[in-house]
Amino acid sequence: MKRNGILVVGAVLLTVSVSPGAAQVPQATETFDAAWTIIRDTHFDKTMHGLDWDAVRAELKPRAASATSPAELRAVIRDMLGRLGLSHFALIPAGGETSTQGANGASADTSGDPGVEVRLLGRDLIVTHVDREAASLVRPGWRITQIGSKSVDDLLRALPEAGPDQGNRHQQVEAWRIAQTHLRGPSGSKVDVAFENGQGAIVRLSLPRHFEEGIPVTVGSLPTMYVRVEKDKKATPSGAVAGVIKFNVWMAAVDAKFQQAMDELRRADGLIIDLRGNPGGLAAMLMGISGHFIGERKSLGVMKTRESEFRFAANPRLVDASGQRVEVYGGPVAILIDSMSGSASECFTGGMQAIGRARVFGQTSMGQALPALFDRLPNGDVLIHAFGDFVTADGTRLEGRGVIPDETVPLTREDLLAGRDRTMEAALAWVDKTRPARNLQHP
Amino acid sequence: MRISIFRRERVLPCGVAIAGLAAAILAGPALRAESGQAPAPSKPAPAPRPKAPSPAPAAASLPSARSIIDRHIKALGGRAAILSHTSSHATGTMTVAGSGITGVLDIYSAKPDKSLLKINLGGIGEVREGFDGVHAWTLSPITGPALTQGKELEEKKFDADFYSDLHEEGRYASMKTVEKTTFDGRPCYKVSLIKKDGSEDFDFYDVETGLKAGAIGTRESQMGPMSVTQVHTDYQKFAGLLVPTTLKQTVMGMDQVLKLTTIEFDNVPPSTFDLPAQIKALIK
Repeated sequence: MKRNGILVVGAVLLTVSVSPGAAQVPQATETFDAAWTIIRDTHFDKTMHGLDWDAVRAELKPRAASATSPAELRAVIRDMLGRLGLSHFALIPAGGETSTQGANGASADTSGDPGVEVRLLGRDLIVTHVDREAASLVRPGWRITQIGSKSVDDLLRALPEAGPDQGNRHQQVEAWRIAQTHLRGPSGSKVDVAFENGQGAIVRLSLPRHFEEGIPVTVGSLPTMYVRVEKDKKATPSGAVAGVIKFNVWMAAVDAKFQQAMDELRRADGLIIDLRGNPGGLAAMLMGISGHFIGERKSLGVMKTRESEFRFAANPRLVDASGQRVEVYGGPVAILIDSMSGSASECFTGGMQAIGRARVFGQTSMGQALPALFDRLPNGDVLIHAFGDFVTADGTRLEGRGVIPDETVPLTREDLLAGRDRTMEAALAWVDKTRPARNLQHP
Repeated sequence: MRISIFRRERVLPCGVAIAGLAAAILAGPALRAESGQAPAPSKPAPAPRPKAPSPAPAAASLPSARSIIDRHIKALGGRAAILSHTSSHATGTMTVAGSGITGVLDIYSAKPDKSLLKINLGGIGEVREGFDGVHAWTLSPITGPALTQGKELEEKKFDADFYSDLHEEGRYASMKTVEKTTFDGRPCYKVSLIKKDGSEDFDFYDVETGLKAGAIGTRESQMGPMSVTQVHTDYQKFAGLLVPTTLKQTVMGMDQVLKLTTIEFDNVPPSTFDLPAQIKALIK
């Protein structure tokens, strides 16, 4: 199945959507050429993995030139990006948030979120987390059967087949995207959702959509993202205390809050970093975050560009938020991931795993871990283009593979319905097992 | 995020290589843009990729490196004018071409070799990098506080020389005019500058004006060595000295454009270069 080049999904970036057609396509040829040229000049593999890039241009440029709508032009460019068969080649339409009705009946204004997080289990969209009003109405484990006027079966009909090498990870990402596209809409509006509640009953709810919570962050031409950092303490089975830090995207606004959380949890018996659902962000941040756990400038991995290699080395965090000298956290570190952990989350997790500084729990990550840049094209769209390949310190390439947990914990509907988080449970149990030995080394 | 000062060039805040910014925006979130039709506003085309200097036939006889540099110094306003200043503060903006990333910057310098760079980038926050004559450091919301070490520290010290533009005797192991070539579309003399550690920078001087047109060099960073290409344009006079107010740098395939709007001399308090508390705590 052709990957279409845009299978990578950013939860926080989904707000970029669609808008009504225009009568003409200004700068179609220039836009196509600009995208083609940027990739030619910056792709980390000069050979394009054997793809005849000139032939791609020759084939597709006439189609771009004759495009009768911006959508048609984007389809051509996405076709071109898809030929590369890699993540982090994508197109963000300009002005996508300004219109009211998108393709497939989805709203182009996706500023509102009903607070329902889903994952694909088999061919079912299963609720994995709820918040806001939905928290009192919906339970994890419920199966979504309908969103708006569309049945989930219809929505998922176009899912790509699972690939022989990559399992159903592409399906996971695409299903999540489809669900979010239809669940989200204008803030203040409502979305009608039908759930099967695990006991065979259908529950129909009209869920209000609210603006996404968090610190709004806009980096350049990328859509605004909302940064959320949560900290918690959890008891292990033996009664020890594990600190839990969860954040939803790798943006600079995370750093100070993460530092504060570390200062609070520094004496915990173990640290659990929850990156489930975190699609990535600023890759360089992994140098700062990993430095809370690594006392030397050890490399987690290398980014290989066309001409150079750049290492992502930990920057030991030897100062707390108040400016006092501290030691890095020396206790056991667990990282939780799932099928929606992508990009920078994968570079961080894979790197920490490779150097033996963390044990990884959960489900295999997206496998979309290419460092990328973004450029604005002549028509105003933004081109995301990978220009590096990330390889962990032990030589593992994550693109197309993902981070494979040390302890794979399947996500099941039964557990969700029972209110169990087996991935977290496994990490807490491991903290128990590991804590005594670690504490001897790091009293 | 690391910010490398590359060839500070005396009071001129030219040669700021924001290498770390490139690192900062690598690996954006995996993302998906829904296909669809959007109004297509007219936007600037992506900035062209770095222009490699194009070689030209070598002249029969090339002026010496010293004479080229002296001509540049004279064009700027002269050696005495340069030495008359002891500190500078420049303000301006920075953009990363094509990406929409913008920020405001403050660049402080003082003799003999103190420097402080502050860049506040939208969506990222304030990044600071300094050198107080002994310690080089970075404070970044991307990577946290860090002391610069090893070769990178040596390079910071070298580049922080307030009067480096004079290319005084002893600063380099050797200086040599390599060729007459085209750089940024201008006929330029290419001058090789071999440092005492054996590493090499190249300066390009405009044949017509004598002013420096740019430089190419490699600097160590937290992520490893990075090649930096700089283009200097839009020279304007401040307090009797010509200063390039536009500096385009190419680092890690990204074009960063710095535009200076104000430059003030001899009014920088010494405390400007004091180490921040987070950095002091890192010094054992």
